[in-house]
Amino acid sequence: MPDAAPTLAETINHPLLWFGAITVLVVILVQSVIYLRAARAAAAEVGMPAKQVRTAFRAGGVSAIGPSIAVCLVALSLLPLFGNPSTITRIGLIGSAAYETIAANLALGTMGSGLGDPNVDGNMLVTMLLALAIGGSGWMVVTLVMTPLMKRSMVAGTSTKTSRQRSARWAVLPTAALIGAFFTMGLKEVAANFNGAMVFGTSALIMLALTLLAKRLNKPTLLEFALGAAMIIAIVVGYFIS
Amino acid sequence: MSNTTARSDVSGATLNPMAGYDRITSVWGPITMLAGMAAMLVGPILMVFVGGYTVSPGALVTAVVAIALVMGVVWVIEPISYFPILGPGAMYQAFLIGNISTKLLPAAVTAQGSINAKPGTPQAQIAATLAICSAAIIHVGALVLVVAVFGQWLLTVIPADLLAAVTRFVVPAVLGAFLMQNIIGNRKQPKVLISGLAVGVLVIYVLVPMVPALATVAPLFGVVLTAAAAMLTFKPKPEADAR
Repeated sequence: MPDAAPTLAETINHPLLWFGAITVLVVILVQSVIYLRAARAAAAEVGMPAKQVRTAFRAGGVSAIGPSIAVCLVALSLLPLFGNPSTITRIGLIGSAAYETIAANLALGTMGSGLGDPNVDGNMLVTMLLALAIGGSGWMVVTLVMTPLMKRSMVAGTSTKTSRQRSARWAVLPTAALIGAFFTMGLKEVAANFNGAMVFGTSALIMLALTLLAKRLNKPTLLEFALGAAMIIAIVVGYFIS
Repeated sequence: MSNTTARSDVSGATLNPMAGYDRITSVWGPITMLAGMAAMLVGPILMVFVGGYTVSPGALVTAVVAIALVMGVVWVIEPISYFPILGPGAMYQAFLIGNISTKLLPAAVTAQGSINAKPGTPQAQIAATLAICSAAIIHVGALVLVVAVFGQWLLTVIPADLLAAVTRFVVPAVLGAFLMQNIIGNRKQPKVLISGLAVGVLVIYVLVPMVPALATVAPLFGVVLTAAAAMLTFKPKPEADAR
């Protein structure tokens, strides 16, 4: 190109990228409000006491604090390369630091560069960000297409003749799917390397200990903090053994 | 999911108490997800049309194809794997904000446990939605604080090797605790637990070493095989299911 392209530094915190990032956060909040209202209406419908609604809401939020902060700390690794607004956009919506790093590297690779390479200019960054956004849409497009289809087959599976017996059988499905997914994902981490296995084991043992403690002390709210505590202790153990 | 318990059958006749929830989420779920997709694209697109940046269509297509070749399988596998766990309504929430296994599912399971909601009941579905909503709000708050406001400063104060340890160990650290939480929560269903463990061992220690390309789709195998095993061995027991 004849005239000099904008540099990476003058591009990464561009106001237009900030505009996109703020829009992303607003969409998440708007969706949460809509779902929250639907859930509260349904709670009234099934006669669920307001206290239970508050308890469930608080428990979910508290147990999300640890993972949220950890995920954001991981995302900090993208900051020097992506800038603040694009890090928010990429981590705020579907995706993870690991996925975005790999995808960004692939995208820059096709332009003869790589993540952290000093020859990345503004135009390349914008091309990469657009490619990442289109890539992130992949999950959403599949979700939008597949969810109604899978819902239909689920309803068909529970509304036939022997539906009563069948629906009891189908009720096992979410639990079995969850257990199957997480045993597999967990063992994958254990098999990957020794340090990962130690972190995994520590985290599981802390969770077990805190659950027993919560029962012994009769303090169920302790369980809301259990995940965050187990994570932090396990990561600290990983930090010291590696 | 959509089946109702025997108790709500008595009071609610044929009315599904979740009908309103299903209606709202099946309309607003896709709408908000499309809005999220648009929001994600708007920044870079404005950079091209308003900011005066140059993106060559050829370079963009090549980059997208490169990403799709490596990641495309994940885009399809993840929604299919999580559908049986999340149910239709929550799919639109989960695949908008992501971090499903490390954040949303632990929040949902903790919330269900906090009110002793049994899986498959409307209460469990409501608790999961409430939890995902509050997790989403915490998610936005953490992004604003940790990335937007204090991001640059945190990078200068946190030692690089500590950040590297967080990056490296965050996934096993969440999975260990969450798997234990689910083992404890489902200890009355040993058949499901044993199926899950057996399938996990089979997939990770037998299948993947034999066919390394299967590593990306390992969780899907875990979901499908465990679900099949649990459903095949399931024997309907009228009321022995109560805890």
